[in-house]
Amino acid sequence: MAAKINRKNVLLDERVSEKAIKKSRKMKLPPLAKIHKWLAVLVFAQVFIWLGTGLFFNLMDHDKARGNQYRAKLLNKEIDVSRLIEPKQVLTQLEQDTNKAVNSIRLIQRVDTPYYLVNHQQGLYKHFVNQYSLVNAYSGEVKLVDDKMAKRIAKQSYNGDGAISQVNRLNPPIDDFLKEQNPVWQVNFDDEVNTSVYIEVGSGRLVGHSNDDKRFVDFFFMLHFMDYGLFGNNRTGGFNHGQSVLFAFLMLLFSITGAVWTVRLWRKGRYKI
Amino acid sequence: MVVMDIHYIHGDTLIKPSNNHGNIQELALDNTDGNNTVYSLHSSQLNFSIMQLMQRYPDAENIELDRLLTHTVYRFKVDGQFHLINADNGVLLSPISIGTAIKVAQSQYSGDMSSSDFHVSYLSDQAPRELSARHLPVWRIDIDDAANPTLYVSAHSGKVITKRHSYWRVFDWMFAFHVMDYIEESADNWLLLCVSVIASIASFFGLILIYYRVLNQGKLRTIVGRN
Repeated sequence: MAAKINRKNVLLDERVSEKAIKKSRKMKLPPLAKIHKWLAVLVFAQVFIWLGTGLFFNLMDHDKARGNQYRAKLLNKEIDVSRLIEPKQVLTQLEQDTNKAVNSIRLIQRVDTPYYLVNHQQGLYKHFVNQYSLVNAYSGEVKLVDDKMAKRIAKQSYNGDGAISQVNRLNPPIDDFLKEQNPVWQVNFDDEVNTSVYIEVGSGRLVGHSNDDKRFVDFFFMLHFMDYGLFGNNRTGGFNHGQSVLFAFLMLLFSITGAVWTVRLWRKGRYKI
Repeated sequence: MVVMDIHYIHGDTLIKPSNNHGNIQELALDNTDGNNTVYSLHSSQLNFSIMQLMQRYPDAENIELDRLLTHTVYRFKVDGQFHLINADNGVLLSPISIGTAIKVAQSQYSGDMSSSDFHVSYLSDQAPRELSARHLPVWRIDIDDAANPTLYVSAHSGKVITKRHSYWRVFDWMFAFHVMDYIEESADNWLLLCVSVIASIASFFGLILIYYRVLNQGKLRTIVGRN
C-alpha cells in the first residue's frame, strides 16, 4: 500500500526520471540522507538541551545568576601600625617551627583583625591548590580558621535577614563551586533563597556566595556543558569531556550532511518558492 | 572548543609550575635555577621593617612580601598604584626596567626564551583588546615560539599579569561566534535570541521528521501522497 502511494507520488513529479523510480524502490533515501537521519536520532535530545539552555542563558537575569543577592562588601578597618609585629619575626618564627617554604607574606584583614597570610604552596590561581598559615599581625599567634571564625567572616559578607542554620567543612569537589580545589567552610543561611557562603579553610578567603538562583543556573550549565558526571567521572564544572567531544563531533557531521544534502536538493531544483 | 583543554587554552602551561612544594632543607640545597631565581623568602633578606615602610608611605595598602627575581620585595599600593621596594634596603624598584621585565618573563615562562627570539614593547596608554586597561603600564613580551605566546609584565607590580597564545586568541574568536556577539562576547543579545528561536523551531520540525522517518515511515508517505 505504502509503496503504491509512494510510486504514485513519485510519478507526480515530472522531473524524476524512470531511472530514479527504480532507484527509489530499492533505497528510499540516498546514503547521505540516511546518515543524516540516523545522526539525528543520536543527537536530537542533546540538541534540544543545547538550544533550550542556550535560550535560557540569553534570557536569564545575569545579576541573579551570580548568587550575590545578599553579598556585602568586606570593608577594612584602619590598621594600628604601631601594634603590628614585624614580618621578619613571623618569618623567623616559621623557619624555626616548621620546615615549610614561604613564598609570600600578605598583610590582610579578617573580621577587623589584621593577619599575615603566609603562603607555603602557591597555585597559579587562588582556586588552585594553595597552602597557607594565618598569623595574627598584632599578637603573632598562629590562627586556624575554625567554624566560629568562618561564621564571623560569612556574617560580615552577608546583608540579608537570614540567620546561620548550619556550618559544614567540605572537601573539593564542592557542588556550588566545582572549580575550587581547596577545602572550604560552607555557612548556610535560612533565607528564602538558601544562601550559602563559602570560606577557604586555609586562608579565610571568601570564595563566594551561592543561592537557589545560582544553583538553578548552574544546573543549566551542567546540561549545556554535558557535565553530567557519568561513567564514573566526577563533575568538573567544565566542558572538556569525552561526552561533549563525541556529541560535538556527531553534531558537526549532522550539520555537514544536512548542508550538503540541502545544496544537492537545491541544485536539483527541489526548492520552489 | 570542547576538544581543547580549557587550562591549556588559558595558557596555564606557559607558566612554569612553581617548585615550592618542598621544605626549607631541600630549598636550601636547591633554591636557585639557571637564572639564580630564589623561590623562597628568607629572613636574612628581610631587613627593611614594615614600620619604616609605613613611615615612608603612610597610605600604603595591600602590603605583601614577595620575590622579584633574586630580591625579596615589598609590593603595595598607594592611591591604586603598585610600588615595589627592596625588602633588604628599602630601595624603590618600580617601575621596573626592560631588563628586569625580560628576566621576570624568563623566570616564569615554561619554555626556553634564550633559544627563541622575543620582542619587547612598552604599553603605557593603550591596551590591546586582550588586556584590561587597568593593568597599564605593562611590558609586552612577544615570544617567537610555538603558538606565539605573549606575556604581559606589569611595570609597577613586576608580576606577570596575564599570558596569551594563539590558541586562546582563536578560542576567543570562536566564542564570539558561539554567542553571536562580535563586539562584547556576551550571550545577552538579540541576534542570538532570534537565531536560537529559529533554530528551536527548525529542530522541532526535525523532530517531527525523525518521528515519521524512523518510527512511522508509512504515515509520512500518506501525507505527502495526499498533497
